[in-house]
Amino acid sequence: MQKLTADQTDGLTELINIGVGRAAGVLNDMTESHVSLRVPAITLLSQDTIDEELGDMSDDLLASVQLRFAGSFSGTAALVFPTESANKLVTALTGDDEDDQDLDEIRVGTLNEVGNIVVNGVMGSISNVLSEAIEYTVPDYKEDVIANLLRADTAGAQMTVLLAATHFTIEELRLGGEIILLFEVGSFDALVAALDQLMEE
Amino acid sequence: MRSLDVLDHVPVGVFVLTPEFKVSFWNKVLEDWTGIERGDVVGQDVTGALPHLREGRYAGRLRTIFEGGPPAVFSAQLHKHIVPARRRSGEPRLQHTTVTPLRDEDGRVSALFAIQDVTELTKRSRQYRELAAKVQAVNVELEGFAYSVSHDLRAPLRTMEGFSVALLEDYGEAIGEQGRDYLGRIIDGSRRLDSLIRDLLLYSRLSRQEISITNVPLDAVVREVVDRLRSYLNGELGNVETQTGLPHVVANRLTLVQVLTNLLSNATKFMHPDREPQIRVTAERRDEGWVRVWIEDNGIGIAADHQERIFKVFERLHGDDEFPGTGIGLAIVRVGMERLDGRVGVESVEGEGSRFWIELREGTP
Ligand SMILES: Nc1ncnc2c1ncn2[C@@H]1O[C@H](COP(=O)(O)OP(=O)(O)O)[C@@H](O)[C@H]1O
Ligand SMILES: [Mg+2]
Repeated sequence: MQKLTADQTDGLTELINIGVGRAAGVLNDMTESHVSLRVPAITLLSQDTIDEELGDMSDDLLASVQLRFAGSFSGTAALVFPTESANKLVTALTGDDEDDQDLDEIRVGTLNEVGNIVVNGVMGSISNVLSEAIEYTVPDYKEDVIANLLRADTAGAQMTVLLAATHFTIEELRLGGEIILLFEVGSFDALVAALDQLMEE
Repeated sequence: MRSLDVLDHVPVGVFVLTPEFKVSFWNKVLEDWTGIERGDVVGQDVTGALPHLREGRYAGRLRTIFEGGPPAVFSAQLHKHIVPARRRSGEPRLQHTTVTPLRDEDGRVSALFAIQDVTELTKRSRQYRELAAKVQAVNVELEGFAYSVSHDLRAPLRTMEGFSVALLEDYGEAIGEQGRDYLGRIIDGSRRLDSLIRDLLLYSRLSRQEISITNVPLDAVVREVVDRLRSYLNGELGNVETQTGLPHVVANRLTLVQVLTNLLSNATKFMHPDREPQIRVTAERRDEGWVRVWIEDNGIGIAADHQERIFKVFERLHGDDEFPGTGIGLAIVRVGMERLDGRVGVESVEGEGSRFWIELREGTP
């Protein structure tokens, strides 16, 4: 398992925070409510340790918006929430007054957009430090337990998993989610190398 | 972009925007939805037909697309509309839009807007939501009703039973043989009614109560249920064989105890008169993380026609003198398994025996 130096960890955390900061800006432009987004810390995992790390989330049904990217830099980026938080988030953003609702198709559409904005923010700042063009799929919404959310796309290949605990604050409401980045072999090294180079300059 | 003409034949509104914010394609569906003809909009600046796309909240995200970045989603709840479209009835068309980068031969990136009409979907989920809320409210009311009725019914019943017993004890001599027999029937009847009410209460409580779901060791729970039943039946439980090394399951312990108790007590009750009762409790792993627990007996069995209805409240196949009971046991099993997000079923041949099963997700030890 790869280890990062303190500088590298700081650099990556910063990079992701720039991304979610931009996403918060977009959300603020679009909605009436004031949204702030922060990623206090990141964790690097190998696939075998995911279950342990996400232990407290491991039985819950999670809502996730996933975006796959390919090319010389490839993997999956996802925003993942407990479904209950996802529901609260949609209520807060839309000002929908009924609180206790199912995540129906329409609310799933909203969540899809929110996930899309957050994940795009993060991928935007990542692609800024890489000089390669990245190809993306359209974002996909899924509900499942964490193991299945991550497993589907990663059969076989060993991936590096970056977890970024994400704090949403919308007016009074505080919600936690996870940004999960799965990098295929080599891609994470490329990112760290690019980051190193940036920090030297 | 002639190759895009095929998009006239998909049930989705499609248009293409160049990095200069000029419309370069507008499909037939959009002509129909907006009344804007392709000829009037293609080649024109977007400001004419769709001025809002120049605003910050769209322009910023579109810029990412023109740079070849990831697709963008504009959902129906957060955006009034991407194109000004109304249905013939005059109501606005609600739109869910996905924008993807579209590269031409020269590597120039435009933005392809694919717009789904989600008006019907929205209506339908709103109706569904209202219906669900109504059903929920009725349910809560019904359950509350059942609960208070059962509570209130038991008090006078206990009075009846208590005084009948007192009457029998204190004046039994005076009322003679037949009088004592009548009193005995009154007492039996009250007790029977009391257990009916108690089971109903249990049933309504089970469907109302908040329950917590955890990892439950099946081994220990089965042992607990068998031991308790054995002592309750004064050891006359017959031959119960339980598999050892049963896995953990995801469940609520009390609910699972209740479910297994009801299934096992049925297995011991509906014995065949001609043979020694044989009961087996086993578990097997099913695909995709499910565990199936079998409760098998060699009792009287259940005809195929009745195998569904016995899970409903008060459905019994026998008179009370043949096999006593309330007809609520399996209804409790069914609701319990619903609450545990599990499944339940039965396989049986009349006259040979029954194999009831429940399925739960496997847990971690
Ligand atoms: N193991 C079994 N073997 C045969 N019949 C059964 C068995 N379990 C349940 N049944 C049938 O299903 C009916 C409903 O069961 P249940 O709801 O537990 O009510 P009760 O046990 O009070 O009669 C029973 O009356 C019986 O006819
Ligand atoms: Mg029974």
